[in-house]
Amino acid sequence: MPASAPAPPAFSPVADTLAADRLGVPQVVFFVMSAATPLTVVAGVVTTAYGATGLLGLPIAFVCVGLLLALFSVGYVSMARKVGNCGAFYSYLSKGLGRPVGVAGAWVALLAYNALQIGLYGAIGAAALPLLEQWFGLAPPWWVIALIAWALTAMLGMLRVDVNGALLAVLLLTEVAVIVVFSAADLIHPAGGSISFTALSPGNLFGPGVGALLVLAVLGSVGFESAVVFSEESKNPQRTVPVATYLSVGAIAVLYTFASWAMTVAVGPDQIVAVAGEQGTEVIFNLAAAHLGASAATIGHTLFTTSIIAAMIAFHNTTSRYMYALGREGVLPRRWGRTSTATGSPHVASLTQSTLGLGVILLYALAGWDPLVTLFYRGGTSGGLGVLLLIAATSVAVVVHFTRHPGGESLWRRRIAPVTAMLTLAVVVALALDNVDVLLGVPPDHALVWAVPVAFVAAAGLGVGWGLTLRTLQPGVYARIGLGAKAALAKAVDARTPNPRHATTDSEQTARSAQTTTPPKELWR
Amino acid sequence: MAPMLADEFFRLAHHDTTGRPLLHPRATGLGLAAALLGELLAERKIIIQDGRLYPWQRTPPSDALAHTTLDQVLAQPQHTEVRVWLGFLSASAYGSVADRLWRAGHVRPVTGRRLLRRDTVTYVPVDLLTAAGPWIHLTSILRGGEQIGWPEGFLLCLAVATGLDAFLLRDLQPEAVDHCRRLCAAAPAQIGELMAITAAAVGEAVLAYRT
Repeated sequence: MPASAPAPPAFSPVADTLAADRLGVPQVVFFVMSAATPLTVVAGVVTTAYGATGLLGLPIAFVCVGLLLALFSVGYVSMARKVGNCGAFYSYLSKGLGRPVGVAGAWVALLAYNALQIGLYGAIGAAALPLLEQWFGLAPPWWVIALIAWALTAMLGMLRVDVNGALLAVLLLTEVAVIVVFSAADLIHPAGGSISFTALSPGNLFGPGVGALLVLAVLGSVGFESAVVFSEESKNPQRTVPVATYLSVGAIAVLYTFASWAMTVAVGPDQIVAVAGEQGTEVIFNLAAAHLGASAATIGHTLFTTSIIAAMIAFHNTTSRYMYALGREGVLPRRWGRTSTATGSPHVASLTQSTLGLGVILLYALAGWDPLVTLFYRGGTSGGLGVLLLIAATSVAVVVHFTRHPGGESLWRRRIAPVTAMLTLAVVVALALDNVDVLLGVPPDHALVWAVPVAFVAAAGLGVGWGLTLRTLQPGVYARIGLGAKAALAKAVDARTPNPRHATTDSEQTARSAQTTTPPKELWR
Repeated sequence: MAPMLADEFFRLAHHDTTGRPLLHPRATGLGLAAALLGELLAERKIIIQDGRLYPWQRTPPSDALAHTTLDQVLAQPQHTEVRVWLGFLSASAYGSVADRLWRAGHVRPVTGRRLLRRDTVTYVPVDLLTAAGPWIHLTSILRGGEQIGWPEGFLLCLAVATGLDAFLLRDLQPEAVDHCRRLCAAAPAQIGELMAITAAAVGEAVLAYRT
């Protein structure tokens, strides 16, 4: 805390009271990891990815992406202290590359996080169906299960029911335990009798489709960016948040590499693509049932279901907070910046996201599209591509920011790491855009191959346009882009010292300054 | 006698007959903390400038709770950031303000016990008219498009900053809503600054919400 830095007192009730509510490294890692929901990634993303891409290099991609994100995080966490709304990539973009780019980032982020969230509705059916069949002998269509999960998510988002932190921690730990035990069992029962390291060979990465694998690994790591949200609530922002970020990135990479490799060992590296294509998310549960017994598979199924629901809630909250922050700033209509008075949830934003989710579920149900591949896998990978684009753009913003304001950071943090990360991410983005067909698992001439990138480009273009519109029409709002909830502070400063450049050109600003200079004596006794 | 701004905000932020809170706990706490600082501001015990607060007059305020707050400010001059003080005071403001209302005979604590929930204490107002007082007063000012004085103006701005305006403005005509916005925009610099910091803190509480 900057205020307490100059004179360290022997004891200060203020510092003590505030510290009692502060988060240490373990708590922040727990928040990040429980939003990352590992079992959803291992049982859902990894298996469908093997099937849809037909590539073996996923374990090694997790290693590479882990290293890359750790490198990116060096500059990212250093810059976090200078950013108003530090959990959101668009704040970094507006700080480093200008506010129109910030709005573009916000639009892309809304699209990407919505795709990630809504995609999960496609997986919940596949996850819960085996349990419903086993326990109740029911086999409802996937969309019935999806609608139930949707109602639960919408309700929790609106009411902001405290999902108990201890419950989330227990779920997370059991998920990790299940992944580790299942994977260890895979290694004890290798296909063909000996453990194959084929899937860990870096050679798998240097083939066609490498871009797709890297995006999938980024998709698995989504959530690592949220540790910085807790900067102001951490015990020691200089240390807690960076350490928590690196630990989360590391833990995610190690766990996913291990699990995705173990799967290939048990099935056989030459069989995994065919088996995954055929069994989908059931691969790891079928393996567990064979190695550890049917009850192990049931435990796995149950946790897979709760994991997807937890992921839905986490992404729902991320998306509605994005909308809320944008509403607070005035970039989105201000209604989105309102909270429910009773529960404090950003209820307008939450309701909007839920409505969108409902629309997509109904669309897929009516059209009869396959939920697992077309909704979950393509929604997730498109979202992952969007997040990759955001990370890459943010890395540029970090470099630009530290070029302009190098003060107080070491050469490694402000120059070497950010520039290396930026260049590597540029290569990854290029590879990813080259492999969109492999990523989505569609033929190269499929409409989605260009539709998905074009959607993100369009969102970014519209965002820049909206940013420039705001600059001319509402400079007050423009000045606050990227500040999130802190926008309220900028307004106060703004009203006292109006920006001379805008004051002359803008009608709203002059109207407001006229308002604040003349009537106070009449309005206030 | 200085205005008991925190009492008034407490009344505004709770249902006037049941005593049920209208806001979520963190917003209520931050609002009460801002009101406690407002009581010191009203008596010119502190000043607020550039996001920081400084002691101005060291003579004790008339009220015991305001006295305590000022003592805390004086005892810890190393903390000047208003945001820090809001965070600190919000941790205990609810209990201490409720206690002050109880001592003065305005509320009585009722413990609610519900299955699987922690016991909750609701402070039920003793007198409906007193409890509804701030709400009646503010809405009549807004309806009539009248001038506003310091304590009411502070309360109105604080209601807007914490999100209570959703209740306050619910049944009012558009002109009254407009009047509210103009009054808040015209707030004196120190109030405006305190409100901006409070509104930001309430917003941050939503963004950094821990699930």
